[in-house]
Amino acid sequence: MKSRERVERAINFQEADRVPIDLGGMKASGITVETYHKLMLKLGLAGTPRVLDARFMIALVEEPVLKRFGVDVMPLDISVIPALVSPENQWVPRRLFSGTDVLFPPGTRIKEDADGNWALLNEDGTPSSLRMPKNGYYFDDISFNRGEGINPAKFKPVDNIPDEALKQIDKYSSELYSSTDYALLGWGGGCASWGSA
Amino acid sequence: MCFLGLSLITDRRSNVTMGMPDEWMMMLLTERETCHEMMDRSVEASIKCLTLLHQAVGDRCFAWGIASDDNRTQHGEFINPSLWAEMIEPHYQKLCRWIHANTHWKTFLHCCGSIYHLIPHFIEACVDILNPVQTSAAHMDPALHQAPTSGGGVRINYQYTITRTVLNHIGFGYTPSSPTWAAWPADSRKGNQILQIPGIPLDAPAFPRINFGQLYEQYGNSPYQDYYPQYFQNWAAVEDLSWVTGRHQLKFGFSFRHREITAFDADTKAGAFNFDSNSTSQPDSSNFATDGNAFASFLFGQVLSATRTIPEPVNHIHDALWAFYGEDVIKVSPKLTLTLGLRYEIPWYPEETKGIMSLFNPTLPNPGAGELPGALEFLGDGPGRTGTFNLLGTYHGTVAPRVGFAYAFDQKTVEGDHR
Repeated sequence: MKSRERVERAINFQEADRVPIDLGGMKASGITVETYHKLMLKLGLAGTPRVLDARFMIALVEEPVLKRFGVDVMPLDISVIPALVSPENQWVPRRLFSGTDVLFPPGTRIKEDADGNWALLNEDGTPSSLRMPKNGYYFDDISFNRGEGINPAKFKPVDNIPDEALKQIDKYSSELYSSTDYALLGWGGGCASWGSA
Repeated sequence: MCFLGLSLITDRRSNVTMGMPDEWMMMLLTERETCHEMMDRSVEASIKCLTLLHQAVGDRCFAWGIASDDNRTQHGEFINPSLWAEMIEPHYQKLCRWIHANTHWKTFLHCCGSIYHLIPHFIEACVDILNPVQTSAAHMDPALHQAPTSGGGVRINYQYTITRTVLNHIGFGYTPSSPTWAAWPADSRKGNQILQIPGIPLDAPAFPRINFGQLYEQYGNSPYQDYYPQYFQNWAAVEDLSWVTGRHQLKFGFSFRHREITAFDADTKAGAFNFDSNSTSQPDSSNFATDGNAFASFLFGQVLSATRTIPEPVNHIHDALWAFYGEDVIKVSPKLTLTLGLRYEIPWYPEETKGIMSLFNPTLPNPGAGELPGALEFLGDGPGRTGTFNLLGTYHGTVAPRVGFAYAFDQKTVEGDHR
């Protein structure tokens, strides 16, 4: 039974040949990049692991690992499609505190302070509230609240997605759907902004 | 989408919380209409985005993530489930219903942690897939969700043909079971070791419950926290004799059932404290009922009432029922069948093995109230006790006659029955 049919049956309360398996079908069901790198070494896989989301330091789970573990689901997360379709040379190489070399999504900017701690920078170059202490594994959010307070009149949820992005999503999902048998889990387009959850 | 704004995945600045989850959570209590209006706008905007995404992606996806909305801690829900149901459920429901009506996608919700009491509301909101089931969080053992009551049993039946027209059936069954809550772990935190509230045991599990008479959701979790050893056992035996003779099909038999319950309940051992607005109201005001504020009363330490459970010892309760019956099914004509029967039941009413039970007797003089009638009556042996172990009474007059008929008319059967 192919992955797509297996998942389809499972979610429709029909018996499948086995329980479907997920690893990295969405950001919260993934694996951290350090652990993923150790897994790659254990399996004898070459290559540089890629970080799917710098905030949580989760890995992009790639085909050899999906295949090795019989994973059935792949993400169609519109927030990461622009990075995934970018050529590898646009990804940002960086050595983690552990010595592991990884690639961050294009545009990722990290600033190291005098004590060796890292701050994830916003698009405009200002430091975000996300900090990775020296020798840490992921970024801590040091300020839970942000913004200027709730003003209902100013609440303007994003209700549109640019045509260019939609074309990219169409093309990417079409290729993924026709070239693999994975069940695809869609993500994005919630009330926050089209690029996030 | 994130209606509590707590998820790390979500960009909190651009969801309904506008980057201020704590302020938003207060608004859910104090400015409900505004919250509903904002969440509705959020869903409407989301539907517009999902319309475009569905045009781009179509059926290539099996499901779509509607939200990453972490409503919980490791120990329990972050929001009172009834508040979630009132404020948030309708908006997720609107979005999920739109997805179900306009796409083939299933709806997928991410919510980590201990959310056992929210799951029924997720189902009401038309969420198809919940991710994850965080088994390391309280009350999230997957076995609990699959089997609300754990139990088993054995049943043995033996049918024996005595002659061609006389058949004997004998059966025996045993069913032990334990309810869901018996497996819930107690909150291991000893809240009162921190709070030091006099009168609350320092070893009581969980945090004392603080209730407010208006607006505010309660603090603490003592009403739902302690281990409940509860174990139910059923024994059953049955004997039936069937005899077919001429137009008669006679049946006689008896059944016996014995039940035992072992139960212990230590809810609210850590206490519950109630505050209401009256304590901080104006005594002579015509608006006495509406002036004042329950949270202000709490800040002043003006407790309206408080309760603390001193757990009973473990109860061992058992009862039994004997039943005898006879029945005659008479084939009056090829089309008409009559059924006549009689059943007699002898209950052995529930007893607590050691008699450690008390009941309210409205006629018993109460020494604590000047011998006025109405006092607790203690069962069991010993001074001041009733000498009985029986909880309910001694009625043994349960006789149940039964008359029935079946008439076959043009392939269709008319039946009647009276008991």
